[in-house]
Amino acid sequence: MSGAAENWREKELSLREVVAAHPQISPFVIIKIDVQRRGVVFSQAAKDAADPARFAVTMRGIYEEKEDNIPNSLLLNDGTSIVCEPMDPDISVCPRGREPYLVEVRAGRTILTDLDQEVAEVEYWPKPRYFDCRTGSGKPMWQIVNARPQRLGIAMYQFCDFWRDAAQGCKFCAIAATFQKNKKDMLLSEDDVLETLAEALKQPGRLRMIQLCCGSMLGGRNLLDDEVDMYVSLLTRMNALFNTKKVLTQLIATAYTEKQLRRLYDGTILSSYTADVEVLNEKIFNWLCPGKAARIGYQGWKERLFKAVEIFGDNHVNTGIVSGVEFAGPAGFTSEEQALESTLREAEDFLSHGVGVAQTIWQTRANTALRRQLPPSLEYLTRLAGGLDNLQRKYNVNTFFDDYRTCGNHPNTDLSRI
Amino acid sequence: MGIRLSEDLRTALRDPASLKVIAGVNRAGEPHVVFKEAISMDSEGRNLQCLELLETSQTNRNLTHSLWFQRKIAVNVLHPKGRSWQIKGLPVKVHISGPLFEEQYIAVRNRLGPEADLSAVWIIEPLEEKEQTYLVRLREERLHYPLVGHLDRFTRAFQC
Repeated sequence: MSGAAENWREKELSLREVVAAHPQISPFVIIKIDVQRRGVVFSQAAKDAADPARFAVTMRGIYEEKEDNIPNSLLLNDGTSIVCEPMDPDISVCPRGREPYLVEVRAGRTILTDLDQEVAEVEYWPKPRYFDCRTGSGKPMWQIVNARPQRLGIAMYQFCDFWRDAAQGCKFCAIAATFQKNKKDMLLSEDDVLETLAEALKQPGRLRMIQLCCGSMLGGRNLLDDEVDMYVSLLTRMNALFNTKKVLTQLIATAYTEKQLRRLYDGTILSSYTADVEVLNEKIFNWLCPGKAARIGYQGWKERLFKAVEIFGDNHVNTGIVSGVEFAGPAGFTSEEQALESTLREAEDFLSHGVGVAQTIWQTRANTALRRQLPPSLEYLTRLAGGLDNLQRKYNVNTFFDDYRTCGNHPNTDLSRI
Repeated sequence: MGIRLSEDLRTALRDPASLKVIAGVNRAGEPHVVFKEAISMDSEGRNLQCLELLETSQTNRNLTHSLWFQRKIAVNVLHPKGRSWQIKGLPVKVHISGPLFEEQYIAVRNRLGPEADLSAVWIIEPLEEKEQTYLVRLREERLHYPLVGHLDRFTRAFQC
């Protein structure tokens, strides 16, 4: 497979070496980090094992859309999800700069392998029953609401207004490219969403959390009022599905003003709020996220998150980071030691104000501006996960709404299980 | 390498009147032991299956810790007729979703009522089995350490 960085295995610690160097960090989480960093492909037998009647093989999200027989993602034996975007094994180039892992079937077991060695046993995400249903308007429900093993995801607005202005979108983000490629409706129908939710909730024991996450919608009387209106409307109608005032829900959205946050918290079932700052460094943020920087600014983003803790309460607010993107050139770090020290220092400021930090792994998607760049080492990303977990414990911040099963995409919150 | 549990122990595990406890340690090494009614054999009859009802319980944390770092846990089963066994094992898998989880979720709620929830179905591979019934352990000690004990037990007066 061409496109891999030259001799990359000789320049960095292997998975086995990183696990041995960090005996206090879950090896399952380290595997997850590396699979996300390098990507994963499936052998023909592994694809054949993905019975579409039992496993989720279709998805419509804002970052990816697929309808094939390749499993959406993986589960490890400890319940750790590996949220991955399976790559076609026929590709002749290596899109993430390092050879991906391979899922194979050996002796009836589905396993993750690297260099022909077994790394871990895996299973595929189970398919929820509603995936086979259609809305009254005739749309497949899997296209309306996506699903992880224990969570539903709703992306009402399938685009992001930061991409309407040239070079204002976040450089690592694939929303615009995914939207353009798939020719889908820009805005979901509330009726379709509510009908799908009602159907999904009929399956006992299947779901623990509902997440709402989509691109920014900048319009309105005040900046982002249209986006807030959209969510208030949907969440208000969702109230009819439940018998409690609040439900474990997470809104991942743009950083709102106090007035906008109060509308959402006081008037709806929403219980948790996330505004992704993406990178814990103001200078790199300004370069990576020019739209966010121009409209709200790094310091403004932080202040809005700190205010959100006052409104939503402790353990109900966090921010997502695309860990590794702090190395994206030309603005990023060149030293892993400096990046780690700087990132953890800034993370401590968020956590000391009660804002959790949710680490995702930078995946250099082929349809993004940073596709040719190389993410950092596994050792760095593992140390960052451990450092964030330590800080989260130090400040007693527990974002249970964004953990291994209510999300499954954050190595550092996986570590809070013990 | 897992072992096959004895038939007597398997029978005790199937008896709803048996008491079962599970013990583990947290990441600081602190022990934690609780009664756990819902320990049984799994559907294949090889491993233990343990239902954890509470997501935030210390048992859930400790079992995760054991699975991550290959640390053994202990289970004790006390049959109402007085025999008891200790099992040492390793958690090898946890079901938090999927068909088995949903089946057990429904069963738990049918048994315990609408307030009940299910966090996880743990699968524990047994590695060691030892009967801990007092008379069995006493015979074992007498056999291997015949001179160990208080001397008054060995006096002529005692033997009379």
